[in-house]
Amino acid sequence: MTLRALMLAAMLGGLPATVLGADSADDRHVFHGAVDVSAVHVSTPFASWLDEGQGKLRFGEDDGALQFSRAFLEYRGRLTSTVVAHGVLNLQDSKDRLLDLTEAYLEWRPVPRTPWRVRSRIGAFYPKLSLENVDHGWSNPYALSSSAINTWIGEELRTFGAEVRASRRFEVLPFAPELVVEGAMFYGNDPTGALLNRRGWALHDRQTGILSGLPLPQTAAIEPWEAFDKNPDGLEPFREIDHRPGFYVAGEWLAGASFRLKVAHYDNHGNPESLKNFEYAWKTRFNHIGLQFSGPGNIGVLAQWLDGSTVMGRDLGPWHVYDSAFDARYLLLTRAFGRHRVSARYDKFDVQPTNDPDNYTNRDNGHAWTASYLFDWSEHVRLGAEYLTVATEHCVTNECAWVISGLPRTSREDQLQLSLRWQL
Amino acid sequence: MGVALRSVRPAVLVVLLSAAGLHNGYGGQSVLLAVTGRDGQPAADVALYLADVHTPLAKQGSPVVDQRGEAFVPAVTVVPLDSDVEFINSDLTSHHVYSFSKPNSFELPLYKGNARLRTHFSKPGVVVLGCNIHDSMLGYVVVVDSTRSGVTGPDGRLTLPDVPAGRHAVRAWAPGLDRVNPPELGVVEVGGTAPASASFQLDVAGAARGPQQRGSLAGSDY
Repeated sequence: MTLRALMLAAMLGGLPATVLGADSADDRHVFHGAVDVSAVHVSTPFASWLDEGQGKLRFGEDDGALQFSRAFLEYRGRLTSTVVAHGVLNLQDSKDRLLDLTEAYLEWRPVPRTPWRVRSRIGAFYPKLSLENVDHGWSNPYALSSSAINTWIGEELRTFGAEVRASRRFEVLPFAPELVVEGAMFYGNDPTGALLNRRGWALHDRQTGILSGLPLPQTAAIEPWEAFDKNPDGLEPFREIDHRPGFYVAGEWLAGASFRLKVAHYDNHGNPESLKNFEYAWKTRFNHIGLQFSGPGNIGVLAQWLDGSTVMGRDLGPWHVYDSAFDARYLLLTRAFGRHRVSARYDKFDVQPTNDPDNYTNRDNGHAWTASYLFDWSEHVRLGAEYLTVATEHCVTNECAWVISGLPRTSREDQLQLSLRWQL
Repeated sequence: MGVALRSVRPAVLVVLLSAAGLHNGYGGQSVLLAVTGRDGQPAADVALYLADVHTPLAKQGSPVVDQRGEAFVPAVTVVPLDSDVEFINSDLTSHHVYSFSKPNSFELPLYKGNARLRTHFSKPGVVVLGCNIHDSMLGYVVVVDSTRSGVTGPDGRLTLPDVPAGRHAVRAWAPGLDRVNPPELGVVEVGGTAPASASFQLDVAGAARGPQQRGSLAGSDY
């Protein structure tokens, strides 16, 4: 935790307090923000991927016990009665950019004239896929670390473009359900998939800023024999490389205050042979299903499943130079007891190369258990504790490149984290 | 909407006679109406009105629809034709009430600090309310060509004051029922000096009855 980061965190905390104090009678401009600090104990054979290691966690054993996790300031401004500006300023540890925006967009919300309600966003924003990250600043109100799926969305997915969402409610049906259809076209996001291919899945709370880069492990999780090329030591996941727009389409069914079923198809439409400034575009596609409902015993249930592929490099006929399939899923159960919340999550994830013999190829096949406890101590202070354990099989036999590079065939990483959040 | 019409079961009419008449200044009587849902439990938020009664009531204040906890309170309001309805905002956040229901469409920006606005309803029909800031909000104003109307409380009961003697058809509307021709539940007979009451069973299509709970799931920022 650098002095610079601490000073910026103090500024992020102080600025909205000043603004809110000056303009409390109106909610034309609304700020939300938080500062997260953690005490972390990690047991892992690897350095964290953020230190260019193979670890799936945000912190490694070499990191100090006390960590500054994140500070953010979210702004919502009503520019007109139907146009709203959104922005999230994010401060976190980073090799290149401490302070960055994670989202910045305008939302147009015309007053409906028909049963169809239309909402549109333009700018840089998250596709609405995560069921976990629904709090201010795309925070996760259920756990300190997000599932593998939503960790990856926070790392490598962002829409730089326009999204249109149309919904209508069917009041004659039980619980007045609502049908939502949405679609978006975007530029940027061409290197998406590179981190998944080189590192595999991860579980943490870090989000990539829209101008920021990410480190890459020096031993690739998948396709290690490409090491004779100079491995890039980082990527900028939101760059535009091939000048081809990507798209996603989604459908959603909402009923009552809790039931939500969402299906989506995402395709960054990358040209895998396109190269710019030593960075390739990756062609990354996936299908997604998310389900949320309030179950018996007042237990909230969240589940997401994501299945896709990513390819990069020359087309060799049956496959590309880099060519892998990935999938991940999780089930999260949560129960609130007044100001206390207990959640448990099981993650299962996999990245498999599609172009090479099994026994010699690295893979990223594993599962994780997360147990989390959060306590709203006061309006402004939240305490949290979380235990997270990840078990991964990196290759099937001891002949695979991962092992030849001196890494264990299977690994287990454990993390115990205590968190203090101060929020506006 | 034929399905919705068929969903109304034949009314069970119960008229209770009592020695103690409830007269008021206009010479009519109070009528107690009770509605149960298909499960036999009291049905709240059901709009009821006597379609053939047009004699004026003593002047009353405008009905109020509050916005509280990001919900319309009450969820269902029934008003006679040519009524003003006052919308107020008790939340600490802004609301922007609208309706696309023709011919009663309107919009009212109920921003924080501008928390009291009214609108006039001059055409009969069901007006679906929404908030352009909080997409999950849903409410109804039922505009009826009748001067005796009301909405059942949590006990499924409603008392209509000063109802003239005679046989009156009781019509009902609840979310899920026909909006153009709210179905007739049955008849209530008012006569003599006795207060009248009637109970009905309504096969409402399970639409929202009171606030829906999200249980342990966190509220969405999106």
